[in-house]
Amino acid sequence: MSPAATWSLVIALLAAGICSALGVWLVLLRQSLTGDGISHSVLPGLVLVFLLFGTRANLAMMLGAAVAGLLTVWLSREISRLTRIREDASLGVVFTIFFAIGVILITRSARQIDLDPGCVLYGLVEFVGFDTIAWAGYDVPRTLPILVITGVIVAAFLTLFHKELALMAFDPSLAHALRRHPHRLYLALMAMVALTTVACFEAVGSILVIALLIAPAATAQLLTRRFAPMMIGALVGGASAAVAGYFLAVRWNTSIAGMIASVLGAQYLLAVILISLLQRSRRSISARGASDPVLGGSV
Amino acid sequence: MWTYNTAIVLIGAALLGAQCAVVGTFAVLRRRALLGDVLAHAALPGIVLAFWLTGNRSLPILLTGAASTGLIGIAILAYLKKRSRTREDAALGLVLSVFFGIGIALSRYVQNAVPGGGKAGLDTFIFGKTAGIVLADVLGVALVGALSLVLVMGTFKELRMVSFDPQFAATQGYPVVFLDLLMMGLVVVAVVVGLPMVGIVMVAALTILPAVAARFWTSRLPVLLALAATIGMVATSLGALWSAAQPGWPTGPVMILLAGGLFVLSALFAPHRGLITDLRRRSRARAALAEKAAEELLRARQTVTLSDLSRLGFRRPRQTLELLVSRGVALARAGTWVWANPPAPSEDRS
Repeated sequence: MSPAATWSLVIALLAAGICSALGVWLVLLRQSLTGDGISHSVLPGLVLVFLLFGTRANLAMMLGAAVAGLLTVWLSREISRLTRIREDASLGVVFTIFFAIGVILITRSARQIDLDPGCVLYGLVEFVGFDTIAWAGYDVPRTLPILVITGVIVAAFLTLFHKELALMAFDPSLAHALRRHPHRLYLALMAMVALTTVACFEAVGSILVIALLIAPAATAQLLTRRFAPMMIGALVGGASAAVAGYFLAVRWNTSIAGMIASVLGAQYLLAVILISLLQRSRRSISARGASDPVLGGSV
Repeated sequence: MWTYNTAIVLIGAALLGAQCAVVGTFAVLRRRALLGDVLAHAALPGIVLAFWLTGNRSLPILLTGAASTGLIGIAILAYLKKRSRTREDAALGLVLSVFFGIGIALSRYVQNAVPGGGKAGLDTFIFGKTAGIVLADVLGVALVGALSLVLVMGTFKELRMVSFDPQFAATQGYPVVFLDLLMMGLVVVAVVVGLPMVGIVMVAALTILPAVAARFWTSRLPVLLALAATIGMVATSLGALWSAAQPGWPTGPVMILLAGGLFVLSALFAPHRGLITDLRRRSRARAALAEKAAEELLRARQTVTLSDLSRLGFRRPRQTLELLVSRGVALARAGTWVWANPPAPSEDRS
């Protein structure tokens, strides 16, 4: 494997790890589609930063995108609180308008701007190895430091607030009663999602970010009802999908991001089949148990 | 500006707006506002597959492909809802991202493997191209729209029941699963028709925004549907006119901004559910409650000061007390207010 190819794999693995861990909470909180909303609405943030400051510096772009993502979450919450519109609808309202503003900004300033909306959607894992900077004495892809820092922040957040997150996910009314501010914690979690989306999508594209956020967690949730196995399962599933997707994409000469998403879908499908087979065999066992001579008769 | 082409684009856009709004209204009522977004993404691999299998780039073939993967997406959603532990939000997200990922992988594969594969015009479908509408497309939209409308009218009672109270509908013996499939199928058709005109995200927005905006004005379903269709038509046709008059403004996003503007206007100014009416109602209720509470406090303590009230959390203690004075319940005396000992209300005397 060439160094550039190795870097692609490393970046894909890192993105998979961060997204899978965060996605477990999104799925548990039934907020999976918030990731979808955020990843669409970061577009105007990116464009505005570029138009206002004329910079494509990573940090400024990331800040703009993250602010747009957070604004989406906050706005849709406020709209649904103030007007009794349900949250899915208000999220849909906000992020589609944001996306439209982003596209208009891009096309209106087409001459000055070098932002390819397609690139935002698909990502370019293939080429991360060619766009390198010096970091800690090594030549590394430009996205590596961003992903590593994001990973550290997300890991720290999830570890520090594990108890509060669990309380919010499994007993929101108790969280309110104990004054643990689930609303603020929710916004903080969404800030993590926005940060992750922004950090990852340059590398892997916004659609793969959604797949990596939701699919590993949903697959793991099918297989277990306990938190720790679910988290480990999601991480293992996300990482293995990244590796398998990468090699399949190379083999078939296609998009790495698209292939990873396809493998994630295949994993989920396998889990669904496995579970339904297990249930069937369990049902036939209990059917036999029903005519047990000790219990007598059928149930 | 009033060329034949403009007229065609205008009619096509208006029909699309109305159709998306009507089917979107049911989706929004059923708490599946993002269904249109999901199915628009799920249509993508179908477009690539149709191109790959037939080698043909004509619109009907590509859209048939789009509709078929959209329908597969629906089947998966229905199966998961019935049979698996995955919640609906995660199922929607899964279908959206995995189908779109498969679409991207397929399109890149076709591009690299099939000579002359191009991109199968994929970017057109992601971002849409309204100006490219021809008469045949308008006729197609009209036909599909009319069929959808007939289906909606024919199953109106059932759809209404399922959108407002699916559990009750199920106990009454309505075929809830079938009606859900029908509703999602209508969304697929509307979204697929709209894809080449306005693109994935914009067509999703057309199923959400008019319905949500119209919901502020009425609580009656037939009115809601008519109003949503009107809002959708106004936004799409004005958007089409705008970008016909001002080249360089992308049609789909302009339509969405117009629909968004109508949403904001509705949210602010609608007479019963609008934000301004609601805030005014809330502040009136708060003032009435504060007055009542202050009166009881004064009756119990005989005398209160402004700082007493603000310590207890009254937002506008002075106004509240002055109201009591004007009703003759309290008397103001140098910074304190005392109970005026008014005659008890008639029902207390008896």
